[in-house]
Amino acid sequence: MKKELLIIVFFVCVAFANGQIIDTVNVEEVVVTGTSISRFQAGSKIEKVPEQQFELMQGGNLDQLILRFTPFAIKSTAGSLATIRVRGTSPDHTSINFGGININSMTLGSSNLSNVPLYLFDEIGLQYGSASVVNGSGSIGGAIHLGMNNYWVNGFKAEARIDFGSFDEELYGTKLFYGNGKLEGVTRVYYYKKKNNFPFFNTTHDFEKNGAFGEDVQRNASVENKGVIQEFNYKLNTNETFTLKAWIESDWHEIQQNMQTNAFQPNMRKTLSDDHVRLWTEYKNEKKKLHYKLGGGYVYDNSVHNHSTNKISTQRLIFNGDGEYKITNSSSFKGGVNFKSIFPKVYAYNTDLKREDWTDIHLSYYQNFFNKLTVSVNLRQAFVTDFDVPFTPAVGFSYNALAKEKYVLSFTGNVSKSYRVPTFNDRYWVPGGNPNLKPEDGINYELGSKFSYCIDGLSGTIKVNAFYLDVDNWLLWINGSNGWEADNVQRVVSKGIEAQSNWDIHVQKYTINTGLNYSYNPVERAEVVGSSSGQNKAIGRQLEYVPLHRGVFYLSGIYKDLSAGFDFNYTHKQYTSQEQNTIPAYTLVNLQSSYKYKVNDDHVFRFAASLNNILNKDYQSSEGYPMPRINGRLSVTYKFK
Amino acid sequence: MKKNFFSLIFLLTTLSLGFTSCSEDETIPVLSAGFTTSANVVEAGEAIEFTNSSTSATEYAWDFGDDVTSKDQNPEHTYAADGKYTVTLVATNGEKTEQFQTKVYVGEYAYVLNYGGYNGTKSSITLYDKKTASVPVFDYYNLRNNTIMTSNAQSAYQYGNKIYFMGNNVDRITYVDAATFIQSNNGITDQVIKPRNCIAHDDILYVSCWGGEVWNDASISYILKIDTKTDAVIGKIMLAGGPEDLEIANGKLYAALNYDKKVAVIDMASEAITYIDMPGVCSYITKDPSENIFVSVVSSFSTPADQDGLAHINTQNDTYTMYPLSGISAAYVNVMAANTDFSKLYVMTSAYDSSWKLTGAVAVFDVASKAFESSNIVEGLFGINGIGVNNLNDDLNVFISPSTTESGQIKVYSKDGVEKKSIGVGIAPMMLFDIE
Repeated sequence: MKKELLIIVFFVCVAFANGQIIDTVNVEEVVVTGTSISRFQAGSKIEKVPEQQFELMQGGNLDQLILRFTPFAIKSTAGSLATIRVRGTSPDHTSINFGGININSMTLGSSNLSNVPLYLFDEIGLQYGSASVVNGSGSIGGAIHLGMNNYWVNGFKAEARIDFGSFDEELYGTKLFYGNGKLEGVTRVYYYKKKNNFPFFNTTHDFEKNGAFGEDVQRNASVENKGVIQEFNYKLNTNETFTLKAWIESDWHEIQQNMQTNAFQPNMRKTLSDDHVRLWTEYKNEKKKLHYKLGGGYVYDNSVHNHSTNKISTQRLIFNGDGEYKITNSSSFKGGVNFKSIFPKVYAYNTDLKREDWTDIHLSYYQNFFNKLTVSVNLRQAFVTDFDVPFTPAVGFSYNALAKEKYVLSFTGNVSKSYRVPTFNDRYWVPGGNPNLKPEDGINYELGSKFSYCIDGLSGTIKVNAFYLDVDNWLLWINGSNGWEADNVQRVVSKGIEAQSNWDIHVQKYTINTGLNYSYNPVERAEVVGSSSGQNKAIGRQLEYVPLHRGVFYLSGIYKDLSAGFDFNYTHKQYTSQEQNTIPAYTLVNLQSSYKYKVNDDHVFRFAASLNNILNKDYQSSEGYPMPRINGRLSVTYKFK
Repeated sequence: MKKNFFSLIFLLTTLSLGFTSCSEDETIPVLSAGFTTSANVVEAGEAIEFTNSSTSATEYAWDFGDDVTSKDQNPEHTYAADGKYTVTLVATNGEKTEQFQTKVYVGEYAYVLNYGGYNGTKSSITLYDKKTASVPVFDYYNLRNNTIMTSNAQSAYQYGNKIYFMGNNVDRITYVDAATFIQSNNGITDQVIKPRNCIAHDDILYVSCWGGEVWNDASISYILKIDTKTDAVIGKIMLAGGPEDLEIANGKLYAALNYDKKVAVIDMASEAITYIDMPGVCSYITKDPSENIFVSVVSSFSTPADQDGLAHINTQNDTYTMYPLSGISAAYVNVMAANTDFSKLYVMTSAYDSSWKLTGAVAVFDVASKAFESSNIVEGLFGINGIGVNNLNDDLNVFISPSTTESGQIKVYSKDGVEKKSIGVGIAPMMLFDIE
């Protein structure tokens, strides 16, 4: 351990010794996805992933960023499939939003985070806790916002990036920005592939050796993803804009074999390909007292399992209208309607199911008192074809208790209801789908405090949040009356404390950024609901695939154009079944360094290197599936203007 | 600095000398105690041979746990009464002693195959005490082999001194020694793709294999022939339609097809295949004492049945009589279980309960009158995954599997349908088997 620490210190020292500075993202106009949604959600915990961390992970996918810098739990194989568990909830309890589209699959209810490339986006917003009042169905645990900024480029600027990593990992990406200051086009393209043939220790018992199978190499786990986002933004005037975004994504991977298969059935190979088309267009008018937005979208999702001809696809048409009326400078009303038509084409559904309509109406109000206290109220009601959806209200506050020159102390609180309409598979899959399911419904209580401190050379925050989330009618597929069927089987209570701290220290030409992100999250099956005899095994015990503790510590330094840093993250042991099966705790330590070389103001290169899992540990995030030991990545980014 | 350097050299030299002297000690054989048994699960009155594997011992002291002791090197012992006994061997050399223990189960036992979860926990085998309907060992395979099974086994089958397991994730046929339950190799993999069930005749194991995604292409399935003495694959009978359960009756091999509304009849000498058209796809077969077979005819998602129920095939002329049973289970194994004199055949099915909710049930087919009894013996079950009959007392055992991530149960019913007991077993129990 001592030796490993020395390596870290050395790496950081070498970086400083070279005397350069880190790159920072130069954003001309920030349209933060989080801002507009946070104003009417006083007391909700909504954060943007810090730019440095986002920049560092640009060559990877969303799961890697979340695992490395946030307290959210991820269950994943080595690069091909990753699902999120925010505050102990299921993957289908977190919405992932692109424009006005929740990209979660309508059939499965969740997204594969390994298929969300960070390179295509400008920022990531994270919402902790229930967010159904703004995002509708599914945001019981939280929400993730894939943000894109408007740059209003006048002329042309461009970026190109190449990454090479261990196990034949390659990323090629480019971003082109062109416009005249009023009309701009942005094209973002990437191609990613990875052979993923990493070595690991296979613990499968080999009867001929009378011991573990031993050193092995992962087979048939390659990934090949590609995508493009095309944007057109038009500024009619300073208060009136029109945007169009089209995201076309084509993802393919071999379904990673588990250890037993890798040892004993090495030629087994199955593939999964996913194609998505996501279009979003929006007109925004802020000319008068009434600000309004009109949006429309189209989504096509198609999934092909192992070349099967069985069709699994859905199409969606979405319309959204939102208006905000500023009563005074300190109070606003907001109301809106969201309409969605879904057209499933799934081989296992009854052919009579052609279309389902969802309509959501929401109303919000916020009031600020004396610049100290902000209170918001949200009401939302959804209407779904042949399905009853609960009314969803939320109230919250934020209170600036102390605001001095050097520090600010604020408190926040929020109570919000949330719900999830069961997925199409849950309701219509034959056999086992159950149209009579109840919606899952949750209530989230949140209390938080934030202390911000700023003096010459030192600035930072300390945040502590406590939450209590109670989800009833939690839905699972169980072995029911005559085979597998979807049922509302349990009530789950998730509690927790999250502590976060981030500090920037400036000493002469050096900048040091350090922070901690820790979550303590007991999640338990509180009771069995319904008539099922199952799911009563592990009442009162930590839920599967949710670590009780997860923590991240990071430290990085910047000197002129050079930066270097390391991060350390710990994931507690996780149950993998309702029995005593667990995957052990793991600790990952990663190093990174980058150097910006400025040819002139128009031509800038950025060279970056990262070394991951430098302790060279064998670990698992999903039971039976190995993860890579030490691995690295080199990248070169060229920016024109 | 120089002083430190010399200190380091001194330390390293001392350490290396230390290691050298240790290696000299290793040439002296180390005393150890150990033994193997000819069987660990026996009936009272059945002898067990103990084979000593201790090293460097000069004396042996055995304690069989029933107040009987021995000083023989390789003793034999017979237990008179049922029970769980701890056998202890103390190996002695001069003043040094080493000890080794194992447990022996004496009584009437069966084994429960727990499938596990296809993408999660592998299969396990629970030891089941038939007299007391209790579980002395939750994972007997693990106890005997000190490791978990490497696959999810679809079925288990004894032939000679081997218990075969049809593993389908990963694909392989493994076997353990019937007496010791010890697995000694990684199993048979040659041409084994999605094995389902098996039956043996004349030292040939016939294995029904789906051959891959048979639901997309029904032509890829086959029956594999394996020499039980050499483990070598000696032939392959292509059989479209996804063969599931197999049975040998009247010298013919019958295969229930799960992706075609047929039962295949294979002439074992010529391997010629004929078919019996059925009103639905088939899954499970039970042979009656007159060498005729009952086949479950089921409605599956991909192939709804014209009529579901039990088909009784006369193996003389390969014609059948249909006994309709709406909602008969489409499960693959242990859908039926006969009582010991084959007067009743229990059949897994489903029925509406008093609140009109569909639940699992067990219907009773009266073999003499050839009719289903008017009421089910058990109803209102969730997660029914298989049934079996305790051949000691004719109790009906119903396997319950609520999910693939939690332990299952066996619900024990008397022949009158009175629930006697519920016992926890491994994940997804599906089959009860005896070892002879």
